[in-house]
Amino acid sequence: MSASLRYVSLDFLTLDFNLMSEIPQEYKYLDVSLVDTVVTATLRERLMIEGNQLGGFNPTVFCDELLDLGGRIAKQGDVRALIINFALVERFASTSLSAMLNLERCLRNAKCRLMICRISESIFEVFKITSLDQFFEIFPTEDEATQALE
Amino acid sequence: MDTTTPVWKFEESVPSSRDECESVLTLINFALEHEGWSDKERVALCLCAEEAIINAIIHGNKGDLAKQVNIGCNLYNDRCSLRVEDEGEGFDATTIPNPTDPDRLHLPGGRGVFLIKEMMDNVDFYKGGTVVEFVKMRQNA
Repeated sequence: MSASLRYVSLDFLTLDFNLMSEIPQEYKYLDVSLVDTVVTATLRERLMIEGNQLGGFNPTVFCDELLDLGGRIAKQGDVRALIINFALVERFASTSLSAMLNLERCLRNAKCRLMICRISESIFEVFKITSLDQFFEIFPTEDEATQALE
Repeated sequence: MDTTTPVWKFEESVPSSRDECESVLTLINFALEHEGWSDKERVALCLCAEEAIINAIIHGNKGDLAKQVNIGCNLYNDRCSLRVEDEGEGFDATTIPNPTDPDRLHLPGGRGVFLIKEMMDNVDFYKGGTVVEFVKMRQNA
């Protein structure tokens, strides 16, 4: 299963090549794209394997992939923001929250903003209960997250 | 409405492995969905089940595959009760720091028990903390 990669402008071809060629094509739970200097990762909790079969969710791999992406972005050094799209996520336990916190610290050190969008009401409840809705930048849509960067 | 007989029940001991426990979580999720629990309640129950199981694996059994996690679920018309037991040494759940304290907010970890206590209607720890049992009452039962 390959990550979907979108290149918007040839002006950023060099950046695209450097960062996107480094991102593994086989992230199981992330679809990654780069627009300008903003990386967007759509989280896919449910795996599609061998056609229509659903694969089991592996939280450890999920967390590892988030942190791996963060590490690559931090190494790149000139990514303004990582927007994480939660539209396809139904479950989000505290281990994933921990991964998000580690990711945030990694990106903050690289001067990259971490933004979250399209969280379901149920998962937002988890952020609210743990007061992490005040810690993370959370937006209703990807467009609104992007506009906040203007 | 019968609230004394479970409409669905499950109990199994599994090794301290995330994969094995993931299968159990999937089963509980399907049962809740099948019995028409709301998405919000289903997500809350599965999340708390996952938190309890992760704690049993990592903190209770220290990831020892030779040790078992016993998981039980009783689904009634008006409530769902879950029980998770590990083979560890136990712990005092009252000594866990509040993860919403401003100086702890940025720290990864330490939220599992807190989430269970906040999201469930009743939570009890037994056998020195090796057993956690919690209940969620169904809205509009």
